[in-house]
Amino acid sequence: MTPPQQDTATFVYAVVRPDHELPDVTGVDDGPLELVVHGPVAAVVGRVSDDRPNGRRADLTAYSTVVEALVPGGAVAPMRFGTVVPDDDVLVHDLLAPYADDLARQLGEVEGRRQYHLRVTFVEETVLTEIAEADPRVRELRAATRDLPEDALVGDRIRLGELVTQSWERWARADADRILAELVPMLTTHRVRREPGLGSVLDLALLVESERSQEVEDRLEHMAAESAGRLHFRLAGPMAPYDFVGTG
Amino acid sequence: MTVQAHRGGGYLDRPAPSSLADVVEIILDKGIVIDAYVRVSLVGIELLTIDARIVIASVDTYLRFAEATNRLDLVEHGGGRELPDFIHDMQQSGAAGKVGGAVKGAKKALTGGGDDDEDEDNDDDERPRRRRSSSSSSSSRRRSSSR
Repeated sequence: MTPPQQDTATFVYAVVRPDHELPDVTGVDDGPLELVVHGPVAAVVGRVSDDRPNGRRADLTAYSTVVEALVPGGAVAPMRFGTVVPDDDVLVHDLLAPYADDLARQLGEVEGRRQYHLRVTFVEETVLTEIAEADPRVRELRAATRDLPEDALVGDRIRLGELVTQSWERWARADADRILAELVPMLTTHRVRREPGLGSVLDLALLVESERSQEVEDRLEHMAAESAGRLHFRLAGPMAPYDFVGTG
Repeated sequence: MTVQAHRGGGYLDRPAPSSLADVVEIILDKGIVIDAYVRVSLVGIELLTIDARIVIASVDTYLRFAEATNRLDLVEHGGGRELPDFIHDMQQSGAAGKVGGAVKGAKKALTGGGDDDEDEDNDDDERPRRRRSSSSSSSSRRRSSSR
């Protein structure tokens, strides 16, 4: 291990097991990776200049490249992007020592599992059309306001929008429940990142056994095909288990 | 992995793993935290959190949804529908478009913006949709998802 120099700091990518083989990639500022071992856990780190600005696009890309490259070598608990400590001693003292058992347990929990991120959204005009067709009040308010200037009948327009958003939110919850009921039995666990609503039907982090990942992908492809034109399914991953680790 | 084979496949949108937009949305505020030691400028991130996660039901939201509803080209009594040609306009002005714009703005703030490959990244974000939707069976709908 290189002894920290005066003007360097330690960029921390992830926590792994001590015998984790480091991949052949470089990290932030093209720096080499090192392992700081403490008991049952180890941190994957790199040296960075102490006064460098952080959070640039290249840094984020380098960070995610390192974390993903670690995955084939075994369980990985990603650190939050941008974690920089003054030196290795601080890293051991503030993270690896006090949380050693907790981190080791978390590595066990994500072992052999992969994360996906699923985002399901309504196809706007399809769902708006369905709402208008289902609700006579929406049709009436539409008929009353649509050919008038925007500043006419503002109260009716607000009421129209209110009815539409209420239906939209209710339908989003119903679709979310239906999709979740079909998916959850296939998952190790999941985390709802955003409740169903105007922004999305589902915004979900999934943790899946590696052996079942193909099954999950196939099911989602099938669900996406079934509801094409009404729901849009977007699946990112597999990736490291960012949503399922933490020092809580 | 068999992800590659899937990409040609169908209706499930599979973004490229390295797409900056996805990296920002998915991993930025995740992972193990040692509070005192996360050094990132929060300017762009806070924007992203607020605009992408919460769409507050407000008068402004209602008016946007009302406008989008009024632009639908419904067949009034038959219960059938004609899909409009101005979907693109509607999405630009609808809530979804507004959120998307805000997210892009935040990304720009985060990544400094302005540099040459900013546009490339945005394209990466959208291109897979367009490509995949070519297998869609509904040409009218396809237009709507290829924004």
